Amino acid sequence: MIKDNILNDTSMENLSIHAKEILLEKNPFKNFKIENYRYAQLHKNIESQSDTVKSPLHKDLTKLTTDISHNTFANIDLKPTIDKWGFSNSDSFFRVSSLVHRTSISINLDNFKETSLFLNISNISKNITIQKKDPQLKTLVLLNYNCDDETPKSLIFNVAENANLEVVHYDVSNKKSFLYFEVKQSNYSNFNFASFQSNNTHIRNEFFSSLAEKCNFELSGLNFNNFGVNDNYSFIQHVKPSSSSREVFKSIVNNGAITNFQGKIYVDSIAQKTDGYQMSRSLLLDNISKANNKPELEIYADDVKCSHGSTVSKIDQEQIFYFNSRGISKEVANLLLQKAFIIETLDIIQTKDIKDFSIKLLDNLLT
Amino acid sequence: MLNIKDLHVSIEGKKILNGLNLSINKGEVHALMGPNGSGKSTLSYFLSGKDGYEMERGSIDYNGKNLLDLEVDERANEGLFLAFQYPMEIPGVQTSFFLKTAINSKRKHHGLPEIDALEFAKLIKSQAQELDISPDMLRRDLNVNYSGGEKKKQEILQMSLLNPAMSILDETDSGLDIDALRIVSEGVNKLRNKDNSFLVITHYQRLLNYIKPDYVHIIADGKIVKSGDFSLALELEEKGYEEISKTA
Amino acid sequence: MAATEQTIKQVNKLGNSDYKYGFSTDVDDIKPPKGLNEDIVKYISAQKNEPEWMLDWRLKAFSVFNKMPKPDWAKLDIPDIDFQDYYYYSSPKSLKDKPKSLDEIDPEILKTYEKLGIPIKEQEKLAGVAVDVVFDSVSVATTYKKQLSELGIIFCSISEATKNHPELVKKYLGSVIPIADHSFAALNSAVFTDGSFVYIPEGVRCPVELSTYFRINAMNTGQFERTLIIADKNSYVSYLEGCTAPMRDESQLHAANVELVTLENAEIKYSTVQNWYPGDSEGKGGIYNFVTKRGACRGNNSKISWTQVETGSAITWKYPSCILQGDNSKGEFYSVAITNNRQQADTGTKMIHIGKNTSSKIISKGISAGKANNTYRGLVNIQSKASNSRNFTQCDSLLIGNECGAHTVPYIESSNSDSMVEHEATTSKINEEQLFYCMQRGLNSEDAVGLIVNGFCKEVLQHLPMEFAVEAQKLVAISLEGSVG
Ligand SMILES: Nc1ncnc2c1ncn2[C@@H]1O[C@H](COP(=O)(O)OP(=O)(O)O)[C@@H](O)[C@H]1O
Ligand SMILES: [Mg+2]
Repeated sequence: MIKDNILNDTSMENLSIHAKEILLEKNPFKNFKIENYRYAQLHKNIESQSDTVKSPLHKDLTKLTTDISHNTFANIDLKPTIDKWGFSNSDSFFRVSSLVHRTSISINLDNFKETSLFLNISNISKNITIQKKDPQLKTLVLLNYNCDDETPKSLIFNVAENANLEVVHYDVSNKKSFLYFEVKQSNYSNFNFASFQSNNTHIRNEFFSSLAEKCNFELSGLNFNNFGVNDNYSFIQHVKPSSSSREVFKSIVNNGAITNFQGKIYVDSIAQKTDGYQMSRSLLLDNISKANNKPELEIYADDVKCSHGSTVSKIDQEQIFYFNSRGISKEVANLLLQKAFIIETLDIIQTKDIKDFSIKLLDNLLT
Repeated sequence: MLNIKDLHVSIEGKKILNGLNLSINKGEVHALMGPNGSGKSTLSYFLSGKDGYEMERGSIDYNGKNLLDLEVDERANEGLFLAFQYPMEIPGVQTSFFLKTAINSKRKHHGLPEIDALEFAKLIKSQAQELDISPDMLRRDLNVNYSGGEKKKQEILQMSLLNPAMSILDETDSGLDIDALRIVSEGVNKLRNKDNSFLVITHYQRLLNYIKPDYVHIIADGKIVKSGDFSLALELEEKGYEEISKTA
Repeated sequence: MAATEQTIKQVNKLGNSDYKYGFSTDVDDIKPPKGLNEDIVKYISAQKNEPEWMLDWRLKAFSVFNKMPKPDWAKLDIPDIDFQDYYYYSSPKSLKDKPKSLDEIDPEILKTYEKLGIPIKEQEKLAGVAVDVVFDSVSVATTYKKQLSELGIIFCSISEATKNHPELVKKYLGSVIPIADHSFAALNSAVFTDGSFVYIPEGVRCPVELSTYFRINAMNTGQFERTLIIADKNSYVSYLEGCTAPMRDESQLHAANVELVTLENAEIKYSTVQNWYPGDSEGKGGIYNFVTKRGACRGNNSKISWTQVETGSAITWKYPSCILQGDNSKGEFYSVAITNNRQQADTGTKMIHIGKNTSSKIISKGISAGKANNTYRGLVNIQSKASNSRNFTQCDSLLIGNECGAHTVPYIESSNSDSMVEHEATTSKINEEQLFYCMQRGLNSEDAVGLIVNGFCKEVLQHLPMEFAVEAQKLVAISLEGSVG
């Protein structure tokens, strides 16, 4: 049972000025192509009318996300922009963080004796604040499926000094989902976040993390979508010395889907000895889908080690060939290699049961 | 040449050198032997002027000057040379260009004109040949993708080109096969004369069979616990560090 | 058409000595007043005796400029630019305006020349000293001209080209950078004063590196330079831009447009070393450099390669790009950008893959020191028909000191599944162990930094033509002077 504790406000008072600017700006980043949303819609229509473009995975996927074809897209004011190969030709159209409304419930994870907790956030209409003080590792599993409430929501994690928390998030909803995650880590804390998304409508997740001294933050994400739009945005802010962040984001994009990933590592001038790493990889499986990646580094301290990488490609044909040469069919090879591609995102899960459960879930998606 | 008195040095509050005394005269070769972590590299880095060390006590006299008054490059140009235990890789910088830059820095320091291109080419060719370093090697980036042995040979090449007065060789023998060891030692021996000095840091008596030292010192816990002649190295080989330190 | 007639009349009036808009009667000698308006556009056009179509084009660009906001994507702190506060045309400087001898030139500038090893005569030339000597390079230029014209290569100023080769200019000018691309492009199109024009005919491999340096009238290239280079089928040209030393320049605002076009099997290699005045250590003064450089690989199997070394200017805003239209076409971008003191740079490239089997490569090295900010911003866009395309991007940033910033902002967009995009970036500080090693070998700290940074930049510098590369190496070291304690 969850102990409710209504907080009046989950305002962003405690964020640094810089973070506030980034979060509250009206059009704070310039990656998302509004035309994409139209594009996605177009192909969704094609999708609903014809079976020919369906991938072999589609049938199984619908077990988890049913009735996709009846979904509609947001009535967002789509201002057309002229594409001139410029950088600023289009903007994102909203920030979840600026839309979340302000009442919230608070959950203190230390009040539970179990080490793994499941929280169904599908039908919780309030924002949630989660406390973790104890050093003992707890795993919180967030489930989002078939939620009726499409209003944006926020989840705030307060991870106290020396505390260890792991969050595993599954989004298999067939409704639009807009979530804002904020992690406030105190010194010497560890936080892992694994997010698995298979939502074929429109989903947007924002991850905001602020790291104090000698913290570890790990984020791994997987989005697997057949059509629709998937936005993931992360902003990892190193504001104190000697913390490390590691982020791996993978997407498999198919059947007219659009995936947008934008992630920034920000290192303040006092955050010396920061170790920041970020990798985003997309498997793009057809030519009606799109993969957009925008990894960013913004660095003001010199004694740091920061790197990022990004790739977009299809499955390596030489690998497929190798499988074929060993008598494995193209289809099986494809599945195996897709699985190999995403398995890395599971690495960060420490609790064995949850990891096994996740592997099973991904197997279901793929086979 | 070099006179170290009661040297106490620490890193990040951790005491490494603990009252070390060492005096090296012109024309002498001293061997410094000691177990891992006894402070050998610390001593050689500190003498070269590397950052991050704190001297709590002691004095170092180098040819009548206070060594500590000199910057890293000034020490080098005054003839102090360190053959690094782990030579640095410098991507994008061609080895031969680096060698020329180093030679010219020293010449400039002594008020000499830059080395003539032809003269340099000849010099480097003959020196490299003696050390069995291929010309192709000199065109590559400095120490990048060199094998361990090649890096060590590169250090000796630099030493012979710069012709230092005081050379410190920090475990130059480790990672060398027997042929390379011979080549490197010959390089050192050729350089030896009555005006220059060497401090040869090593674990093994093996190297000292090639480079015959005048004195052998044993270092433990940041100070010299025993000194003697070549026979001390032989004794050490036999008994090991622990026992030798005990009898000290 | 009435409007056209009107324009002709006005232009004719401008050409007359009794111009009534307050400009001087003696057009050869005196600048028109400050300010940006239609009259100045017409004045420039008239000064150059341009045909009507060119004036129309300029006026169209000017009206577009008036409607466009300034581009705002860069991570730059750009002071408000008062476009009315600039001169848009200065006629060839008369002898009395120029310094008479080197003694009158800022010693700082001369010192830099010296360090760069530029011969004294070149120094005079670069500094704009009027000396009645025939420079070696001028005679070289004429020799070249003859040799080039025998091959059918056209190499002249854009104004000459407008007069003598209107069909080429009409066809290609603005075809890569449309006037409405962004406001600086529009501004340049309206008021450009000079620049180079190059046409390499079919099947010709240009035997020399072309450079503005060798062009006789290069000295008077204005702040709004316009360059157009066309490489016809199966041709090749390597072009070196401008100067390797700081230009004496009163103007703060530079907005150049450079367009490159390669037809089937053609290749253009374009190299720039930019070392304009960066402002003083407090950030006072310095050039604002807003440059649009773009190449179109129109033909199959064609190639455009950009190499830039950007060490000057207070603000650098520059994205030399390739539109890879032809199948199998290739784009390359090699960049070194160094910012020191209070300099700001936001530079990178755009690689637009449209044709099949197109490939692009981006190598960017950013070095930030002092209180400077240095951003790499680059777009890789793979369109859905660009099957089998490849991009590889490597961006490395180096920080020297803890008051500067280094930023990496790639935009990666792909909609073709047979294509492959790879991006890697790192940020780190200058390696202190390497510094120590060099200094142990006798190099002083500035030489050691110069050496290591040059090593860091080597991958880019080696793409410069030989004689340029040597100067660029020196420049890299000089630009970082004073950045280490
Ligand atoms: N940068 C450093 N920070 C902390 N301890 C160090 C550092 N460098 C060396 N030490 C320590 O100093 C001691 C002496 O090291 P070193 O001089 O390298 O030994 P040796 O060369 O004799 O093997 C070791 O205990 C080592 O761990
Ligand atoms: Mg050692």
